[in-house]
Amino acid sequence: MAVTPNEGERQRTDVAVAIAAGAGAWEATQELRGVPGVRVVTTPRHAAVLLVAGTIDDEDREPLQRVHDQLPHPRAVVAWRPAGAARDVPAQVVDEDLDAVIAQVHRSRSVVIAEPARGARDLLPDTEPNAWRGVGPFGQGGEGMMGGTPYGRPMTMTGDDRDGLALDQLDLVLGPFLDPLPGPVTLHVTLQGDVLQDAELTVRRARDEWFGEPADPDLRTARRLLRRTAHGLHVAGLDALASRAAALARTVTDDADRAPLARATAGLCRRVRRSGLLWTLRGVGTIDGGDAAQRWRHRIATLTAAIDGSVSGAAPSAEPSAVEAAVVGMTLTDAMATLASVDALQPDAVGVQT
Amino acid sequence: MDAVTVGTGPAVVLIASVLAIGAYLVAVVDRVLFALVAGRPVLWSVVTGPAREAAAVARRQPVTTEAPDRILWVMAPAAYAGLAAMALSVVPLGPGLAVADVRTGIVVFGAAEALAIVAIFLHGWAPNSALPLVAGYRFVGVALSYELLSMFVLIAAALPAESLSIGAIVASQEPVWNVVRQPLGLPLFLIVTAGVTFTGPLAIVDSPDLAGGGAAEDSGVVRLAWVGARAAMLVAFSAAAAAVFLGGWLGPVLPPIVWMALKTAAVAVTVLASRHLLARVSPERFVHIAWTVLLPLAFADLAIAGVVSL
Repeated sequence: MAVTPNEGERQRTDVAVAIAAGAGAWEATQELRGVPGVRVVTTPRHAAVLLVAGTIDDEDREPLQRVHDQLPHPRAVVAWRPAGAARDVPAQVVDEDLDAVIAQVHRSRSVVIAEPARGARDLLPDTEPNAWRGVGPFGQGGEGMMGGTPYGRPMTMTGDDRDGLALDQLDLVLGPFLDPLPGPVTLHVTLQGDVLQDAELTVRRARDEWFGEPADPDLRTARRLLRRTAHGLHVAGLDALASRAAALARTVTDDADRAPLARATAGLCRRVRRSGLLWTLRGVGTIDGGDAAQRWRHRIATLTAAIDGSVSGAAPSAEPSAVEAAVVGMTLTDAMATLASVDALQPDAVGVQT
Repeated sequence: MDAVTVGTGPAVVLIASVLAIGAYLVAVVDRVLFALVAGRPVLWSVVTGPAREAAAVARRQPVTTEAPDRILWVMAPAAYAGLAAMALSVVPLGPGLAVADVRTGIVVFGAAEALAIVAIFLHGWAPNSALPLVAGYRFVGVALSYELLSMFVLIAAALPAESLSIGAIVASQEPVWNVVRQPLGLPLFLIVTAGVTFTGPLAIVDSPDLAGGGAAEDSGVVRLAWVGARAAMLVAFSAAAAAVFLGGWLGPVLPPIVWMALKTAAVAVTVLASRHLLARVSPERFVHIAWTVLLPLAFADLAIAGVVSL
């Protein structure tokens, strides 16, 4: 069978791709949402191919292996990273632009469909993460139905909630490779129902320079914002508009004709306004005096100005602590919408190399 | 009088084929709408696309999680699809063409709608995984808010017919369709349809903000069954909306069943279009709107219908 799909076959057969990206590569991977024949899925369970992009931090190595093993068999893995970057999981490596990645994704999938035995094997043993060690004082089952850490995970205990009820408090780590999160960030939450009682946000620092970025600073900003817009629209359930934004991002190049770009951008922004997105985000996630709807407005305005070549200054990046303060007390869906409305997050100071 | 107009064998074939063909067409239309909104060309592959994708999904391993509720995981899509069949069974597709056009059709339909909540919740519960569980219970928190709308608008539609049979409701629209007589009914019922199929502004179950939510752990045939059941439910609710508000099979020139199919398709396309054009409303905000705005509108709809029927 042909392992190099032609354009026609690409149009016919969608490949379901899950993305796990380092901070330098994450924005660029969002452009896959605009590629016909590729479907970026929201959970690894729906994926046929895992795309690992950029440099993965050491502390994210194990989460990456877990995501890798969450793909159903037969699975294929493609790594998109500059030559010489650190290896993380076994994969077909691509060190060119997105077109090469798309071709490799189709190729890798064709191979595992033709020969399932060549699919990527599990990296981690399929066992309990923590053994059961009986009842006692050393991190195991509590007394009766209460307390303790059965299988190494703390038993949920009740606490007062906002409705005057006492509900279980569930500790949960979201990320670093969770599709609705903007990039490789980790959100450690304490949930009651779907309300965040506590949140801790960890943001990774970009370690890669990425392929094919426009040299013009305005166009670079425009392309960045279109990628963020694509992701934000996806989180709001607007995948078709997300695809439009991502496809538009791919056309923002140094030699592109500005007039059609401006027209297409204006059309996209009009549809975003008509979707009711700004209305749904009114009063949600106020950070530094502005809510998520205002951040989206600012994003659209900056994007329009950047295409016109009249943008001034870089986007302010939000402090993780300010985001944490904003999302506590919110429902999980509002917290995700808040994170997706932020154009840039300040990475943690930990491990900064000067 | 109770009218059971189709025998058991033909009934099973009729319901299964309407739901299966309808569900496939839903997938095709969804692709067409996606392409239009995304600014891509609409290619012939939209017709074969769903079949190819279904084959690809079915070939993948149905993954299991740590300590899942296996029985419920399998039963949830089956129950959800079964409830779609139950809802469709009381909807006549043409004059005298119904599996069970019973006197209590609206009640049976409402029961299917209410039990769908259970199936959706259990589907989120079964994998023993945090995000599907959150999706499941936040849906239950919203469900009552749209369920109530449904009961009021359906009872309002039954008033002029003086019967809870959906066949009688269709026949009562001979002079004028309910969509004209009770203008609030259809828009409110579309919201109900979006809720029970968790689509469009009410896509709060298998949604990307929870990384797939209720379906986050589904793969292989388990996933295929759930996606298919959802599409089948949309078909059943679109058929009910067409019968109750758009005069069902009534219409000039074309055969009655063609009118019914066209109207059902129109409702389904409207709901699917909302999926691509309207952002998801947060569950909390929807509950607020439902109780302060939509429920009073549903009361008004019932009151207007009552006054007109006097």
